[in-house]
Amino acid sequence: MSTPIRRSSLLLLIIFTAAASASAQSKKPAAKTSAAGPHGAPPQIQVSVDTLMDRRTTRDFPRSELSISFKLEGADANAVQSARARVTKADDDTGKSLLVAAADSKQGSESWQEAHEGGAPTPKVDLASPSRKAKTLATVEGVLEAYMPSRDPASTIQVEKITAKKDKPPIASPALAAHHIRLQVLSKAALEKERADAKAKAQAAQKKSKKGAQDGLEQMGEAMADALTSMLERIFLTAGENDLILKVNDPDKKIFSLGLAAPDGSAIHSYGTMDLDSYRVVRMFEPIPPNASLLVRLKTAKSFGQVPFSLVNLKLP
Amino acid sequence: MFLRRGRAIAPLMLLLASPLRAADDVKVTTANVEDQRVSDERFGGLTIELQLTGAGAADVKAIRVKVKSAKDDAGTNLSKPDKEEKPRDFEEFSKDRHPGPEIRLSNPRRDASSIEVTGDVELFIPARDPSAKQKIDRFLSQLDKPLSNAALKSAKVEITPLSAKEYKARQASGRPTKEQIAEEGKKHGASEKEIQEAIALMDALTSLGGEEPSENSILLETKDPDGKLISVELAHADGSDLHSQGRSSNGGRELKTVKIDLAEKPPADAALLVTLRTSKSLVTVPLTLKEVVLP
Repeated sequence: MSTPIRRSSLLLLIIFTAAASASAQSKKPAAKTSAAGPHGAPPQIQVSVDTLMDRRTTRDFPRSELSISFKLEGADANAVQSARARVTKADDDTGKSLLVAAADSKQGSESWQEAHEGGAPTPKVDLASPSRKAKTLATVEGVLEAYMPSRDPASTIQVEKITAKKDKPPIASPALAAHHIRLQVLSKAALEKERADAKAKAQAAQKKSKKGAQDGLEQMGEAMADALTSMLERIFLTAGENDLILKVNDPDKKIFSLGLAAPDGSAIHSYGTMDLDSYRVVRMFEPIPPNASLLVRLKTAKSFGQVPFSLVNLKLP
Repeated sequence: MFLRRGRAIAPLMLLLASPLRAADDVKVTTANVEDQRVSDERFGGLTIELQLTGAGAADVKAIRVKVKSAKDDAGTNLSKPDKEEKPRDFEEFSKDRHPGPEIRLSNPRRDASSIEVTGDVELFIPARDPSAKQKIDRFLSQLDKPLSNAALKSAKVEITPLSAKEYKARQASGRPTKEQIAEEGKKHGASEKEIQEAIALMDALTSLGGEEPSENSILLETKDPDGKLISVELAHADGSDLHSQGRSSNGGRELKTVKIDLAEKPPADAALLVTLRTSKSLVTVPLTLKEVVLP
């Protein structure tokens, strides 16, 4: 096999890993499905297991764990923009509880999983590793939390032609203002200017403190200026030419996520968002089309739904 | 007469004994075991991390493990080598390397509690053979032509320092076309959508990893059909280390392009230090892992 072909098969393997979805468990529907939430009709979503991975190791770190990726199906599954699962009970057939104490749970294990191009998100939970002697998971119970902005038109604010707003004053939008949100689109050059300004301020503060005795307030100001400079430097170094750089002021933490859409409403996919203090970088492989809109997704009560699930007798790999 | 012969033989024995003793001093044991069990059986596997101990371990610069048998205590065969598979490449080794060299096997049965593995571990000890290390002076003086060196030739290794223009051209020609990705995808039973995703991923990786070479980059192409090339390092003309800031490579044993980035423009008289696997530099020690407890 030639080298290029071998490389391409590696790529396909990566793709297949991401697309892996054919476990025996995935065919089993959830015993319980969606239940009525506090706001509106309950989402029609069935939760089943997509993939089980029991990683057993003699190492202390990272330690052994069982990861379960859930599959979302049903009439509302494709409306789920983000999801996360919370497991309240998980036992193997030897009676061992697999719940991990909050203090021991892995950082980010509670994070929201975004929908991907192919469909609904596949939220993942990490549990303790079952006994080697166990053959099945006797019970896995919990709640799926789903963010479905399409259930509440008020949860999405659309800012048209977002690239035209680059290096302009903060976006003038009554809808954003109503939520006390201020957004400004920056170019890499503007970010570099902010970095240079912050650096100059830090240096001036240092000079000033050298002249006289430093009091606590000055020291704190200097440290903050240093931190800001290094943070801006990190953003500058990691932001790509195609990325959308936003300076965000959201004192009430109303923003759930940011996305991009074409004029026909179809999603323009990014490969993630980086949050650093008041800056957010939407990562893009390709330049953003000039007619693209920014979709500011807000946390509203109607846009969230909960689905309890209870799965039994899941065969362990 | 007897004594004189004994005296004559003694230095020779010492010379021979030194590397052999070093190899005898190397013990191969288990460091960590990881059994990754996935519901999709295409993935996962058992990994055993090895540990080399003993006074001789410090001289070992690369290793290759050949598994002869591996089974769990329920009798499951964990090693099913493909008959057409080429021998694996040697992996660079140092005692500080973490994780250590690994053996990859199939998953044991879920109810198994231990495994046994036998095989050989080939140790590359360059100190046993001076010709294993080659210094090629002023290798940048002639770009885009293979280096001329007898040891490289006898090992069937070809190294070509490249100009930036030639490097970019060879990188582009080595990239799989959309048609090749599609063909390979179909062989693996991938859907049209999966093939398109692979093509998009390829484009994305190209845009991410396609860092342009700079004037501080040293660019090489290597051909090493028999996997004899252990490492390629840079040095000043006096042999002192020419520290690199990063390295990326693309391709495999048959053909590989390498980009080594320095902090500044490389000196015109820079030398290339090439380490080759030779028969004299190899020692084989048995691998016997018994009752390795499964996590």
